[in-house]
Amino acid sequence: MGRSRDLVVAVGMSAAVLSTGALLTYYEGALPTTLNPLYAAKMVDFRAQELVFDRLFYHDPVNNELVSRLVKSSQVTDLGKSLKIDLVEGVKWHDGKPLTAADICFTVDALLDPGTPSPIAEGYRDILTGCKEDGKNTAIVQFTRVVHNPQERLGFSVMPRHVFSGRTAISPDVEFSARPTGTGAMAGSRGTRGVTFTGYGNTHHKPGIGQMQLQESGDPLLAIKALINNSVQGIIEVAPNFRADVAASDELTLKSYDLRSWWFVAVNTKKPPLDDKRVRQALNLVLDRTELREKAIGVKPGERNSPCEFISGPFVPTSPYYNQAVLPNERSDQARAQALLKQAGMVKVAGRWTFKGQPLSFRLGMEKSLDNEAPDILSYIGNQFEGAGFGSTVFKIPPDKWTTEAVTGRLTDYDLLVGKWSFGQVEDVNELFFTRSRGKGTRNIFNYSNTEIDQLLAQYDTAKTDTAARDAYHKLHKRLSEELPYVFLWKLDTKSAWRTEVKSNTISPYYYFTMFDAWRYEI
Amino acid sequence: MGARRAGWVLVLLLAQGCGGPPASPEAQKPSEAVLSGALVTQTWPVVMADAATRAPYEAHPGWAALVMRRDYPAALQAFGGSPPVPAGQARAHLEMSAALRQAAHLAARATVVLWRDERREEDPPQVDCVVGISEILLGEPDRAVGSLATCLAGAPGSLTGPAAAWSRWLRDSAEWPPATPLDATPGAVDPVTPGRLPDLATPSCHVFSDTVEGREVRVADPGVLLKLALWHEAAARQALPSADGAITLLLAPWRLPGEPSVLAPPMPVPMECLFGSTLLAPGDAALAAEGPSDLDAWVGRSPIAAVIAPCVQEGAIRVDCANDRAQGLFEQLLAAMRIRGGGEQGFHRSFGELARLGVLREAERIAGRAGDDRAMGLLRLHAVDFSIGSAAEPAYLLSVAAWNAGNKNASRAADLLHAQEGRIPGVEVARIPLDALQVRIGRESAPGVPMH
Repeated sequence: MGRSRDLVVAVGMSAAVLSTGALLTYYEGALPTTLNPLYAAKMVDFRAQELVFDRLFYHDPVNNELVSRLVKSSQVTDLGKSLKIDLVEGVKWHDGKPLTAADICFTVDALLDPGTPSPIAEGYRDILTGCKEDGKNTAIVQFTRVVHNPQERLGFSVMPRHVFSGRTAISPDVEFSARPTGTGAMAGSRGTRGVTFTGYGNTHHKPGIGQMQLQESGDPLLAIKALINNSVQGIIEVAPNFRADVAASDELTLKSYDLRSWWFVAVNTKKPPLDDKRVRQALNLVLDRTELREKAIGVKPGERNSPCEFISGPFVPTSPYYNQAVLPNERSDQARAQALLKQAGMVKVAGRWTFKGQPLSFRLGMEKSLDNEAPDILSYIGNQFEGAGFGSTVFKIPPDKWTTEAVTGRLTDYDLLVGKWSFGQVEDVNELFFTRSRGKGTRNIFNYSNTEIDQLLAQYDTAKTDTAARDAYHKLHKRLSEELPYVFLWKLDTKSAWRTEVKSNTISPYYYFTMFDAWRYEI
Repeated sequence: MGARRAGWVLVLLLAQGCGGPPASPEAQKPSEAVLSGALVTQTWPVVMADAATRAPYEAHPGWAALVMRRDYPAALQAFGGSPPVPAGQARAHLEMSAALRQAAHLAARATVVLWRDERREEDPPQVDCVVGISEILLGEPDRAVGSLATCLAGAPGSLTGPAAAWSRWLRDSAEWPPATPLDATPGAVDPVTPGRLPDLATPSCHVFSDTVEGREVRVADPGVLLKLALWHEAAARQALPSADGAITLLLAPWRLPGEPSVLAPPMPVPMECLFGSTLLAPGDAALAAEGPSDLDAWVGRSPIAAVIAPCVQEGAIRVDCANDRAQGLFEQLLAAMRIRGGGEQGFHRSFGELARLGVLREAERIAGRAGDDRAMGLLRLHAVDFSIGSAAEPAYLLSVAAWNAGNKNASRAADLLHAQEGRIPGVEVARIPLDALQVRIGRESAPGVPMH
């Protein structure tokens, strides 16, 4: 896959590439870690990949209909345990090779291959058993059991068999992550300073924009100024503090982006004294969320319809899994916090909490890009801990390090980590709290482990009915609000801003660029 | 932009019979204004740009609560002061009635998708009762007959009474309003009193057991929401009897699919019913109510029709054209308000945003009537993006939520509903089927993992 492949890519693309038109540039909070859809870890990864790849089936963002650009027709077979898929003919990969049923089966096999250490693949292993080719354009995808609406389950991005020479054990760190070959509207190439996308006309894609560039934004105020000055044309996530400025401009449009995101402070439950539940509960009471929200997000106390709403557990308040009976703490309660800390054996000396004779100081980290959405939040949290008698040192963690070390449970020298999780239609939080072992708990930040929590997560996993699933997560919510491996902060709505010269820019829930073909940049 | 604004200024001044400096050739381009001066001056944003006209509204906290915050309980309280403001009370009740109708629509859509279209073995048999009631509200009486019969053939339960009443009503008269079935529906039994909120001392849900494990399944009767909506409609009519016809007209776009359409004759609509809404003039209210097939016939009396008409060809609407002309109207009204008010003021923008939204929403209705679901959906998404701040009208947003629920986009519907909870007492009932629908759809989706 070296020079010869590059040549093939160049030859293939020369036939279909759409390089006309002005360059459209947009800001993300961070650059994608990877363009390989098997290894998306951040929302920016998903968004960039949505331009480069086609998911087998997807939901139309306008009417939510389940559709496909790759599938001509599909038919349930084998008494509901298989789906026969006939592909649209003439679809080409970005290197000019034709898409065939072999690619569909290769992707399924890659998802099922234990040598593909992908958390995304892990989810498919419960429902898929394999795939058979039936001629060049027909694939039969097999399920582990009879499922309702089987097309709904096939939301994976289709990968090119020929690029991997048929090897289904796909590792995350190959060249493919930077310069992938997809069938999407744009060919993508990730560099150190951004991602360049080039339109690729195809049977199933006619992108209206030929050139696009993703850049990493810096200071949110400067980003807004760049947008107003037309140095960039879009910002994916606009900090709430700046939304009024965008709304007041006739040259900018504020657009809703359906994403279920909530913020948290993960607590290192392996590290004394944070291994004591009472200390975690005290920290939960120390934080004055109302003040934090006012300073970092700009929401005044009592403001209605705020984009930022407090939470008491690992779901957004509109989720059916959110346990409404568990109320969030909106204000600090220093008296209760002090009582809990004393019960846990902490002693306050000269205004400082000490543990076993030593002043207690927290090492507090946060993924750097979150500062764009909630400016200075890390300092505000540190200040509140200081005010309550704890020392604190704060660190902004580069996004790549967050992905490779925080999410994988290796930043154990930290006491507390501020982060955000985002969800689409599926609000499965098992990966966050399951004991990390044998493919479970892949996003368990401080390797939290609790048998009772594991049981509740398993109950959700194995629930036979919707009510059983809901009941399991309601109980989970309640237990986590007591156990506090996370101190839960809030959900925060996401809004994008685009210049009005960017037309027909329908934003898809979660994946964002699903309808990119219709986008136009008119100057 | 400057040259375009100058053009509108000219159009407005000519319409008002004012003199002025000779217009530049650029300013004389007629195509730059989306609305004639005569219609511009009829719109409530321009009328209200005059300080003296606006003064009574500015002076009363009820209007601020209603128009700027859509805080209906606060508005009712303020309008009930001394002296009371019956027109304000009527307006608040009217908007709550519209919103609760759409909440009923949402609950009914979620119910039929969940317990009819996506029915599973585990679902308790009693859900047939609410499916039948929902089908009536959604205008599917034939299906409702079957669903209610199945419900009534099962074991008696807390929904048997309402289901039996609806079944009899279907068989005997099906005349609207469905008084007998709603009498059999728990809730809102206190007498209608303008300025008050109905007593909600009623169980908002019925509890049954799933058939697999016997777990608790909560079921809501959307008839409760219709009952509340009709209570508020009656309160609006009692508060301002002189505006009875206008209330009928203004509620027409929000009627449930199962309600008979009521054609109100052309009539004056009080300013109190238009101010702060997306309807700019009485002609717009009639346009929204009637949904005419021939838009051209309305361009002389409805500002919104005049703005949209050039975008409609053979009944189909061009989405980009509607978007551009909605923005054009926004800018034109800002200019007109500046002239009328003697300078730019902070509220001008809010007023203009409502006008822009009015165009998008009517364009959306036109697309819907033409059967162009794609255009309707795109315009709807666009309108929702603009429905922020004082332009966030609950009835409209709940109607969008109902559409989303019908499309199985339960999470988006839930977000829209959640924003109205606490603002309109009772709407939270719709969350019961919507929550269950969210769980079902989520559990049957492609696997997903949390992303940071």
